[in-house]
Amino acid sequence: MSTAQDAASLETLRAELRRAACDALQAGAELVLGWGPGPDPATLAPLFAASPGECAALDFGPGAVQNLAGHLRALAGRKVAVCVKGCDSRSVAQLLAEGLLRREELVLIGLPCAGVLDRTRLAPGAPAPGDWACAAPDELLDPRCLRCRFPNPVLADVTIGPGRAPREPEGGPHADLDAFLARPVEERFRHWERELGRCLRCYACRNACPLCVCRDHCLAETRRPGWLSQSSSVREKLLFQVIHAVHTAGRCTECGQCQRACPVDIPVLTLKRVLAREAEALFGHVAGTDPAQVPPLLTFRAEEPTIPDHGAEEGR
Amino acid sequence: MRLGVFVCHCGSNIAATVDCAAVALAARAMPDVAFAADSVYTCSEPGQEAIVAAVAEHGLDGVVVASCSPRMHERTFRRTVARAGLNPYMFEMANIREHVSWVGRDKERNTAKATDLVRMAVEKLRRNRPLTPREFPVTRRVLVVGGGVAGIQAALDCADGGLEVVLVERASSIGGKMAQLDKTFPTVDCSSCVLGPRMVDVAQHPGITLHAYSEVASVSGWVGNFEVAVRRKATYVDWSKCTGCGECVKKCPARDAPDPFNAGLAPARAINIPFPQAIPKKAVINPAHCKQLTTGKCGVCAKVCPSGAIDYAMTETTVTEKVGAIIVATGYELFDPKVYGQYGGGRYPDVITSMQYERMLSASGPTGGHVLRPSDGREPRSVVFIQCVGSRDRHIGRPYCSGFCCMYTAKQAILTRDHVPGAQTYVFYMDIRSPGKGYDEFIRRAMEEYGVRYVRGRVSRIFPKGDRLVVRGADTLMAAQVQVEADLVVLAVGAEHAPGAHELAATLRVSIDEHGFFMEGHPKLRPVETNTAGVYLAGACQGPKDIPASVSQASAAAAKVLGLFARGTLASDPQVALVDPRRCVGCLKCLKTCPFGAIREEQGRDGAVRAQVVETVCQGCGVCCVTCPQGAVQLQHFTDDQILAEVEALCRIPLPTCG
Repeated sequence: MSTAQDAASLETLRAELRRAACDALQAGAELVLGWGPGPDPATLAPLFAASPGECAALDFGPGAVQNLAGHLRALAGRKVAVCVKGCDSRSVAQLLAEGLLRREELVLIGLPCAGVLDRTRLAPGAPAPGDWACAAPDELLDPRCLRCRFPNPVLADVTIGPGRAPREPEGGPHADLDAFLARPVEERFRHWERELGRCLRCYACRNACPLCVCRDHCLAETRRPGWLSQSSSVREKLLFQVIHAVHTAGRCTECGQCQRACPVDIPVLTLKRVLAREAEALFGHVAGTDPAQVPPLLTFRAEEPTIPDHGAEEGR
Repeated sequence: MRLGVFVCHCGSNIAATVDCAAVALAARAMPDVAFAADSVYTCSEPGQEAIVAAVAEHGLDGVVVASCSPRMHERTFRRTVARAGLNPYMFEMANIREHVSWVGRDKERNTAKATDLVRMAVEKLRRNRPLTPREFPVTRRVLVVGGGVAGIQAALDCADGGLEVVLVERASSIGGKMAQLDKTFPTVDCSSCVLGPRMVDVAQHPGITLHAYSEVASVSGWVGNFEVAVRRKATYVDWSKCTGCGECVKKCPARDAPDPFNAGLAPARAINIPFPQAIPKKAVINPAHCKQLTTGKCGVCAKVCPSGAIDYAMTETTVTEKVGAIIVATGYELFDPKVYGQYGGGRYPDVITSMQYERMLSASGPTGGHVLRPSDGREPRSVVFIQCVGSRDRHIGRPYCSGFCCMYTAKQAILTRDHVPGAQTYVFYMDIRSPGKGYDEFIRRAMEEYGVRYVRGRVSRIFPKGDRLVVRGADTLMAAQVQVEADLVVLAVGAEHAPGAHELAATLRVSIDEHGFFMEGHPKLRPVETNTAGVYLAGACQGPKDIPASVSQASAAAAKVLGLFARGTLASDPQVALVDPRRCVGCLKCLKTCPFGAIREEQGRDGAVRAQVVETVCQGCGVCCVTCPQGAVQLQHFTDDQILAEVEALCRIPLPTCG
């Protein structure tokens, strides 16, 4: 429940955000990508503001679940401002590192974030369990927010709101992965067969992914090369998820949009998290933390010091 | 599509454990296969003619040969198919020898596996497309790395063949190890008299550009069009002015610099010309020992130099050379005998290496050609030679025979008798290895005419006794302990890879073996080529070699380069990556991963950025293909669809039950 003081600071924050958005428009941005009122009290919806009047509806809070960085590639060539949470800013940094966005075309409005809601944990039509000034209870948050290492934007031109402390979950951020990977391989395979049995091949996961830049050229929808067939077998569905995970290995910032977008709640983020952890362990690389970094799978070295069997050929 | 399948017996190599007729019969039922037969030797002339005839008779569009490894005969059969009027890439090979008959004995299961491999090849061939190589111009210049006898020979042969040659030598003079030698076996002719004129030829040849005191810093490009950055180290002497008069060397007060040319037998001046016949005969300052450069107080050489060539402010420079081929002739280094504590090398002054002894024998060496003990300058009466120091010893990681030590030890033992009449010489050896023209006769002469005492056995220990050394070892032919008192002990050190070989191999993208020697393309059939097109090997950098073998290999490498350049253009391998511009989204991940710099950014007419493969640079490694998320980059002849078809062909078949 918000107190009068919270309400006052909420209004201050909103005013600051709207002012920053207007400033960005004045500075030459054609659009401000942010959030505005949603269809119900617990939800914020993406809002693309092109005028100061539209900026007056901008808002932020635990309902701001979308990663707006996913829209930037389509707007390339135009100067835009975008509101980014910590995780969203990593997507921007990663796209910059890959040369897929230009920094000079972006105005980044950073919004430190205390976690976003997991819609599956809310009853339909429930009142908002929190707002920008007053964080929602942990049990209603997206689980990935409970292990968030980057609540504050890694990259921003202006930051609005107080900084947030990174989460330090018990057993480390990968405790659930360790538990999953400890299960026998057959059991894990059955798990994926069961989970992916629901897959509709709607590709909402891919469409929501800010790093999926192929769009109309996706391997999933081409016959040349024909990696995937139209067969509705679990094998094909799993293969698509594996391809998606491999294509985002060392790039995925774990923004969770793929899993959030899934209409049948398949935990596809797990596959990507495992590879992200591998990339960190092997190459010391955390994707989307520095736009100047070279992602490990986007470079070539004849010898990888951290992959010991690579020199085996020399002993021939 | 009409395909033909030819199953080879390879005599009994395949037919003994594979039912070739049954494989051919099964192939006839495969999609698009219009003809299938088995033959005893498909690679033989009648075997190849049968393919040509079948293509004509049955109107075939493609051919599968099930036989040996493609490494063996893919080129052979591509030529056969081309002779039959087909595109050479409308051909697939199924390896049913190395992958089947040589690794399994069960004829029934071997036959089933051979059939599977043929089915994969058929499915691949059904998706093959004719490919055509592109012609591209070559730079008719060759880089020779290393100016020892091999590099000199290769440079002269190439230059005489009409090529421009760039010779890069790390030291300040060419000549290499051979220039350090006094005499050469088995003719005992003067080394510098043989080599000297050739060195002069290099200096005077209008087709040879010599970069001495320089190193190869980086290499980019590909066969026919390499770009090489040569780092010219700072000599602190302007070589365009230096006349090699040697005044500076005489007057230099810093007399403690190391002298690698004399193998550490005597110190050198800080400014030095390594030997009288040096090419180029120019002085170089050792900056670590020069008083002017270390303390800022001296400048003697600058004062005495009549041509004003001294330049203390000189810095290294880099020059870029464009060449079409590279010959590596970086030679070898000698083993450091300090590894064997029991011989006392480095501890006892009168235990020296064979190269130090060589310098002692040389009239231009520090002792003026007199054999004198380093400890007291006395002439030795008894000299012991110990062979296999750093050769044929697994325990120190040198399991190989260095090849030339038996011969040079015999030469040195003979020369000892010439230099010190009446001196007694002993040689401790493991085996005498003298396979060469006139070599064994030479050893016989040492034993019989010069009275060199050969003792077959290893030395266990060398220790001082008074001012002499006691060499204790075994005589395995007499089955007895022997003990010899010696005035001088010479360790016949073996060969090891040259320092920096690993770095150079990485720069040139060639392989190196476990001992640091460069890998030839094939031990028998491609002994001077490497697996990198346009890079050739000459001399001891490929493995220990004596002078005749090094010179032969150098001439062979030169012949290969001349052959490569014989036509003005080269054909590029069409098995390269190709970007489908309709699928490319311009993310340029391929550009970032390409190890050969073969991908460039291109702006299409629609303004969109796309990747483009430079066909002549692409080596067909496929890194870009696995990097491209959309599969927009496809390796021609190994496209995703072709490989997936092979996988499907294999996986759709129920696997045979084991046991």
